[in-house]
Amino acid sequence: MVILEVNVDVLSYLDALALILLVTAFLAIHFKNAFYSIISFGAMFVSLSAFYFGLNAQFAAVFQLVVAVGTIAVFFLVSEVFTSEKDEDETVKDRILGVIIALTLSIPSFIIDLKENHLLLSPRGLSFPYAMWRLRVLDVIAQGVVALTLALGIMIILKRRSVKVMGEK
Amino acid sequence: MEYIILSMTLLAIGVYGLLTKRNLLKTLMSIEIIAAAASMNFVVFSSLLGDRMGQVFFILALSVDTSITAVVVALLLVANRELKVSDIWDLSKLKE
Amino acid sequence: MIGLLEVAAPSIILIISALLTLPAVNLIRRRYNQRFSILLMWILTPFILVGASIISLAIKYHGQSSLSPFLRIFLVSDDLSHISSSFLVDAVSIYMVIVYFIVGLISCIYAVFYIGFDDLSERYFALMFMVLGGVMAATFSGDLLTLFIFWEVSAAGSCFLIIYWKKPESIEACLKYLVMIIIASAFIVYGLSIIYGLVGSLNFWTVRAALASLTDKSLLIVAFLFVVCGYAIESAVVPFHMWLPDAYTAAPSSTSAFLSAVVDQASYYVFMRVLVYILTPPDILNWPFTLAVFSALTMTVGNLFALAQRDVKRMISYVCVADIGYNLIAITSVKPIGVMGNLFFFFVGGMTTALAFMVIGIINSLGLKSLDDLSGIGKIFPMTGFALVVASLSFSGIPTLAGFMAKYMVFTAAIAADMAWLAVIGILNSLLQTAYLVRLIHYMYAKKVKKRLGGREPKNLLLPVYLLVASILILGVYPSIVLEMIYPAAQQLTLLLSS
Repeated sequence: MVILEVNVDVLSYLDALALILLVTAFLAIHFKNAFYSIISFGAMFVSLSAFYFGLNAQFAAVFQLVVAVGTIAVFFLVSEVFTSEKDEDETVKDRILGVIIALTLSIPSFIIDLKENHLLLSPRGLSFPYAMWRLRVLDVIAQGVVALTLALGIMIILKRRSVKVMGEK
Repeated sequence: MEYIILSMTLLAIGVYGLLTKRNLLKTLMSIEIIAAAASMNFVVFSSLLGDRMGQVFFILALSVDTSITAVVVALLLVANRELKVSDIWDLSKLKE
Repeated sequence: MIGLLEVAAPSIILIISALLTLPAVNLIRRRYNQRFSILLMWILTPFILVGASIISLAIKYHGQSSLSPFLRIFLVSDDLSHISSSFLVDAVSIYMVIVYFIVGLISCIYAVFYIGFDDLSERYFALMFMVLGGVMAATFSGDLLTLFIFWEVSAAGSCFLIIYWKKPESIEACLKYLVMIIIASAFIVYGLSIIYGLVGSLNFWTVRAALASLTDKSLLIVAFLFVVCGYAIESAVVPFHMWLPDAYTAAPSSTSAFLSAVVDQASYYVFMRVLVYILTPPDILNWPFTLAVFSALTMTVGNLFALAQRDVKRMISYVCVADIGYNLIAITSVKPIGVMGNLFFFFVGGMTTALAFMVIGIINSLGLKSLDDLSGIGKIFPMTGFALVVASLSFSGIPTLAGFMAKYMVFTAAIAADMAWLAVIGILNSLLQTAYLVRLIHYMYAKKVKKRLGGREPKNLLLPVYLLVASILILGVYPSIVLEMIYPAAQQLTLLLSS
């Protein structure tokens, strides 16, 4: 009798999360049904966030989750508006094919090993708030300016109006 | 596990979706996947190097991408209302 | 000593006045009976303040430029300064801000008369200020991420300027533009993240130092490939140029003038900053030849498509694409003469495209669009016709106009960098460009008038147009006015290359 031994160390949970991430990302694109597609997309974000938690980057993980919730809500709204005419479903064969392609795609990241050399070797003991609000406050302000620009302009897109256009008599 | 290749694969999936899928929803998803791939490296490197600055970069870069995506959504709704299209690549065929 | 606030002052003034513009224009609309003179005064006030702050900054900088030619201003000044946000002031950025100021001022005056008191015109002017402020801050930024975020301000603002009238084709063009912008920004962020992983910082100087000291550069090459590719999409280098003609044709003419004069020049500046000032000396990554190929492609495609267009506005949009090619020639040379040619071309190219779009805005407002419509208008509308003639002759580089000097310097730079073939392609392209622009002039003066035209030339729109015509003529005869401002920049590049 042969006992299959699965070596747990080889496939750590981060690797598993990365695998789920790639598969769900591919399936989100691959699925024809909008509902499944969005579900898969949401799963991708959740696994991405879990991946960040696994990397011990809590701020990034939480931020990613917050963004993801908003995005998925918007996507459900968009799918309500747009996909009314033809909602075709793929066969089971298609779905399995999608999973297989996604798994194939994830192989390179497991077998290729780049020998990168980093210049920064010693960890800098920065606290997150200090890095954000002291060192990078200019970029945060710049970020605010982007938001302000969008807030100023969004009315131009959304407001229904009849305009008289020069040169169109 | 090679993180750069991982994020490159994610980027490739996004670009693939952008180029091949004709559905509007898929286009938006591809854009989001590209943004996720782009910002993922920051977190990975930040954690590998033990440097919190990467997470700050991540938050800044991702919020720029997200806010512009929001405008694209608004624009798509308007385009759907006024031009009655549901495929952005149809738009580009109107000319040339 | 120049402080952070002084460098940011132009952008801060512009952003605050953008916010104040909303109530102010509404007030002018209701209380003052839509008087153009008051609106013009309101638009000019921030420009006066910005001008004053730029002049004081330039004087302060040039007073001490021999001590520290590349002035780095950090947010914090301890040993963590290289990872904090920072500004960089040098001769190039000072010069570029002056260019944006002059060209932006003239296109804002044009926009006042062109857009007038539309439904949402206060937002239009506010966004113009925002874009200008974002571009100025991007020009001063000394860090790749700051540069990127401020650049996104201008990119996001320009999409609203493009869609302003909400014609069907402008919605379409804007959507195309935004999708391109998002892809580009994802590429840029991707490249930046790898650079961060390898270097640990995104400051220009740290990255530049790391380039020299890293032993294995392959991953860094990939990273910069992504960054340059992203900025190439945003400045419409040829394989990615498709959004530009659509956007500029569908946009209101005042927008096309403003974007081609300010945002386009800013995108070339970003290109130059990343390539010439960070990736130098070029033999580290050996990029000039690849860029030269793209430059030749961009010129040729731009000019060939322009030749085929019947719609005049679309033709000028393709001239913009060709202009990118000429600018890239000078960037590939990485020589002081190349930088001089570049900077001069930024100014002159910006003015000329703005002039052309402004004149086309006037022509379009008279109901004329295609090349055939333009038959004989030179005689009916002499003022407008003359301005378009000046623009097209300056585009094609006829001596005594500013365009000649710009092209001459660019082609000399290519020869100085041992890329004579590129100069030859450039000159051939220039001939092609002259051919179709002379055809335009031929239509305007030699052909008979096709249809009876009722309208009259709008006099107020001709004011900014003739400001530009005058400056193109003056710069053609006395280029030294601008060349003197550019000269320190060229010297500083020599310093940078030798260090």
